[in-house]
Amino acid sequence: MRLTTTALRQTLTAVLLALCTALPSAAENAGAVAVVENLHAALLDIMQNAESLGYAGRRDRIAPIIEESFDLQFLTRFAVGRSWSDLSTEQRNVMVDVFSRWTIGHYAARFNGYSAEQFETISSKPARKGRELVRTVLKINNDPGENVSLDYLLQESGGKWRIVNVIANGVSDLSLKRADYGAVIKTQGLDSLIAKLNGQIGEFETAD
Amino acid sequence: MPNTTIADGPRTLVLLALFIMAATGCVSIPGEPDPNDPWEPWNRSMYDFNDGIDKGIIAPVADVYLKIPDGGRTAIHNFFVNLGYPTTVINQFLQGKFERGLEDTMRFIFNTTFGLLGFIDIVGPSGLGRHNEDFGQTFAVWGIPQGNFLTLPVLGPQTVRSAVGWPLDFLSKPLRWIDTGGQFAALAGLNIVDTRARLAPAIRLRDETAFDPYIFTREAFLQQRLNLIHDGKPPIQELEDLDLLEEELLLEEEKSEGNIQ
Repeated sequence: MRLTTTALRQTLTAVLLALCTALPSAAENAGAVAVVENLHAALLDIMQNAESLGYAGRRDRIAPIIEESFDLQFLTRFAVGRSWSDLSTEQRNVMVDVFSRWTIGHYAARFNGYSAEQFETISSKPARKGRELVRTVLKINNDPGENVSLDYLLQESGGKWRIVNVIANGVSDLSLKRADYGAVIKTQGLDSLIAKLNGQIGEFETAD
Repeated sequence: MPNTTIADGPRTLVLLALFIMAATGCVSIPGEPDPNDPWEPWNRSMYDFNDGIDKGIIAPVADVYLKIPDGGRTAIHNFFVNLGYPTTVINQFLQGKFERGLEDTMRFIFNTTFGLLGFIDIVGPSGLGRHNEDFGQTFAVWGIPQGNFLTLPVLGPQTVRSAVGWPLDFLSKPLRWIDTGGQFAALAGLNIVDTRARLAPAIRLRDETAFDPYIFTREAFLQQRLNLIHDGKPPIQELEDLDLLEEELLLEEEKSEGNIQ
């Protein structure tokens, strides 16, 4: 009997502890966090196997993860900015295609080695319009002074959470692209932007 | 990203004053202004000037500096970070961040003494994050508007507010108190090279991906200043609001035109 009571008490304690530890994470958006952590796991994978995979191998391995994790159509439309409404359906499709290939190529080119970097999820909290902000940190050289904060803004569409912005140390990747692309479209036109993006995709490949 | 952040003493202060006068309207600037960057023609020419100095002098020296083993460069960087703490602490107090001010005062004292003039960051491994405050950030906290974006020779990207704060930053740095001109110049030069070496990955990213490096630099600088002013937190919300507001306007436009995909 005494044994049973002890066992019961231990079980209750374990359940209570489990509930207590589960409470903070229950406030997090598990779906959004999973998307970010899945992306980070895939990035670590290509970093750790960078040399054996080569650029093409890294690109092919990361491509399905990027396509699943990012809302590439939303990102393209936003990066193009106000000119988007002037584009034909065909031009939009070409732009989404080149932007998607550029994004995949850029990740494959930049995550080309591993020096014991670590990703850590800090928090997840609701943002405006039903979006979710997942805060993470990229730890470099085990030196807190070198940490890079990586914040992901996600939105849900079709029952799936997808990334719509990445903010590194407070600098929004999408805002930079919008300003940069906007300047090219304004002065040289959309075709020039597409040609420049294709040119960079070629450079990612040859630089490896 | 800014190319350089430190200049070479009183002569630069005079130049700075002249350029602020120019920037605040004493000198007219030709060209059709972008409403978000009215001084763009001037800024672009200064950007090119700084880029020339960077590519011709600073970047090659920084490349050599990067050959020093990690441990040596970390020690040099720690030394300059530590020298920046008096400026940070003064501004923490001016912004009402008393706890952080005391914390960083202790950090400065410990690192300067036990950390051998700051070459060893003995407080860092305890997990205490580094803080970075300056007079431009203090002016922002006090509610002073940022003014236009401007690029200054040698100092690089600024806002009017941060440029006005810069002389005070300069005067509050212990580096300034060194009497010997030669020693000051050597340390200031090393500080520039260390900063440039730290920025190398960001500058490489800009050079590899930006179609208009000036615009990339301007946008990255303005966002990073916002991030510093808010100690890395509220700007996310501000950026998100700005971004999504524009996106929503765009969607509305499309809906009204009936051509949404």
